[in-house]
Amino acid sequence: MAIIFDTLSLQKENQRFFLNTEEVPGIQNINASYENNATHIKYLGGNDTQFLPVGPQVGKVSISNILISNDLWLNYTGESGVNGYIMKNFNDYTENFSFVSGYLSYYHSQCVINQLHKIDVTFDIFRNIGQLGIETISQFFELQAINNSKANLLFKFPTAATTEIILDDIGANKITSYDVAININRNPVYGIGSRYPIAVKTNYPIEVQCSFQIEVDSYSASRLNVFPLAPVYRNVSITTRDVYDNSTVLAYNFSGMLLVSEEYIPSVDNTVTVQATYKKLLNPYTNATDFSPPAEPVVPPPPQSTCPVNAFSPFSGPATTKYLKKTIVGTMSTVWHYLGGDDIISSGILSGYVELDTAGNVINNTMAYFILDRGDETTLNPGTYPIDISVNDLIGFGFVSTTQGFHAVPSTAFRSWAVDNIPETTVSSTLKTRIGTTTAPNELTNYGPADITIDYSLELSTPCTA
Amino acid sequence: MINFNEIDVTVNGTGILSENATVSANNNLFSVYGLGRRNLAPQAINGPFQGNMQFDYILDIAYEPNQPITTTLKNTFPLFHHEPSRISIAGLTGFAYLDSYSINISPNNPGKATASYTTFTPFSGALAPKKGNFPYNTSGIIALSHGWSTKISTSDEAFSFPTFEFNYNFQANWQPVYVIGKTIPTQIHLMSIEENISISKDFYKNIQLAGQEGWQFLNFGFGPNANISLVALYGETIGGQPPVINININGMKVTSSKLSAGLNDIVKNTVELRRNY
Repeated sequence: MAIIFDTLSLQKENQRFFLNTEEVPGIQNINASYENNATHIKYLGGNDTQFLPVGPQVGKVSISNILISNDLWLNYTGESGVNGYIMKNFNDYTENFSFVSGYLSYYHSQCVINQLHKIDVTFDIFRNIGQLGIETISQFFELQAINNSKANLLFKFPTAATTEIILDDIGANKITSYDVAININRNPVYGIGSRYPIAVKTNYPIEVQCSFQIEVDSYSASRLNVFPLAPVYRNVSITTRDVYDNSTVLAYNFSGMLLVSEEYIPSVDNTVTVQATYKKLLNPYTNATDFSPPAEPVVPPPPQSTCPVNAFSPFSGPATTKYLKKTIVGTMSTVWHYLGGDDIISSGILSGYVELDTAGNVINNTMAYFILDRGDETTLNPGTYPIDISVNDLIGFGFVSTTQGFHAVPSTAFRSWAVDNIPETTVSSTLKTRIGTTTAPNELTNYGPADITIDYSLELSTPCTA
Repeated sequence: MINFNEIDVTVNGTGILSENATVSANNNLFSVYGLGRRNLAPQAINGPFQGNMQFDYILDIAYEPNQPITTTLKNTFPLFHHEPSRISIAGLTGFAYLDSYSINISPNNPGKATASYTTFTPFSGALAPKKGNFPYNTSGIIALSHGWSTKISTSDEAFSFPTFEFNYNFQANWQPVYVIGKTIPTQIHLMSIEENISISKDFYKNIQLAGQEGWQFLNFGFGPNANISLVALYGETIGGQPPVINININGMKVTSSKLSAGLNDIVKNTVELRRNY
């Protein structure tokens, strides 16, 4: 039998989308694009020239999504950016089309009678987009979490039939569709010395627009010129629930929305309909679903001393903070994965961290070994992998030993193991420190998976309040 | 008729990536009137000939002819008798003195420079297309400056430069000396030099009446000998060494501070520093 097709094109089942580490169900299509800022320079006398980067490098990602389970997008109407990964293969990080530092610029939610809820979003991408390697440590851990995630999504299906809309005095009139649109104007702040923005600010206010199509019975319309002296405000509440267990999937609550337009549409073919549109402005003290006035700031009680008598203050930090020395011994382990390819595996990043609470108890320790298949290359270039965190509460640590769990890996595998004795971060009330990375080729030549175990010893100074 | 792509702009024989260039000349004629006459012709000569050649251009650090001239002028002032530079624009040549030079670095854009030369003797040559068949100079574009690659550097390290705008301005005050019986000056004296730097940041400090040291005011933290370094966008090297333009702010004093706020942008404070010779 003749072979008609020798390869298959990529299908939808091989394109899974993650927002940070969380898989988004119900994605219908994604348009992830970039156009670099190559501009050819012109000059007097120039018949031939070259391309030069002029202007910022910004990508764009548009996503259409059927609302299933919950709405992840609304979390990003504020100041937070997000990373996104379209993964072909969980076990091969390189087979992706991803973006780093995406900021939501447009959100549109729609529900029409007899259709599922649809959400369209657009992100402006300020760092990078495309088939990405590992650029940041957070990206590394996100990819690791994606690799460890199971395809066990919680599915909830809201429909138009399970959606409740409250529009003040709409009475017996029938709402047949709604649209909620949010435009977020981002202001990336660029500085000299880098191609990436120093910060991404949001230009407030954010405008929210709600439109309703209403089949009317005794609709009481407004008039063009009532604004601005007698404007019409309405409270809008939209709640949509799971068709099976009636649990809330998505809820909008907009108080005091200004009526900005009405379209009155009688027709011989249909019942009389009205398209009513409302607008509201959001400020930094409100969010997409809660428009109550900002709460009064909570004044914390004066700190109580938590320091024992032997606490010391070794650093130049605040005089009110002292430290209690403590030694912590533990073990962390991971599994080395071989990611495919015919070439000798080059090298990778062996990275781990220990997370401690303020009492110095280990609440999490994680190690990961990430292999990069670099094609024909046989070594990974030594280099510095970006760490984006820094706080110093650790006064030193060292390795006790390394236990090699590799299968058939030469003992030189750890020869270039480098230990950072510089702590990297604190996360809220906990102390989190990276314990080290490899910085040179490891000469791994065999297939995995294999276990890696590291014994560590941390000499920690736990902060306490004097 | 000559199109823009058919001309050259050179400084002492080195081509530049000029985007705009002007050649202007003034002869200082004066209308002389007298009682009893409606007109009194011809107009009289009231001052010397003065020409100006000005151009703005994209900075190719490997072939930047003007910044070394500023360095020479600063290093030799006031002892040296300066020779004019040979400026050529579209076939017109002037032997001229650099009177102003500026560099602008902004985020995401190539570095730009502007130079202005004054001449006290008429131009030579004629409007003509360039002779060579090369686009810019014989080696082509080598090392373009860019906002992405502008750093603060010491002799050991380079640091990113998180600021929103950087401008450097150099001004030289030339005085021609004329003698009776001649229409061109017998000497050109360099009387003074002033350098200004403006840097736009996101912090504000009050300036002091006596002026603070610029590097301290700007929190450079690397001591007075840190440079603002313009390096090549793609890290190119010449003879194994990266070409660089270093602008040192040692000895510069803060002269002004201007806070500005506008819609849809962050609040910025532009600090100006000055140094005189």
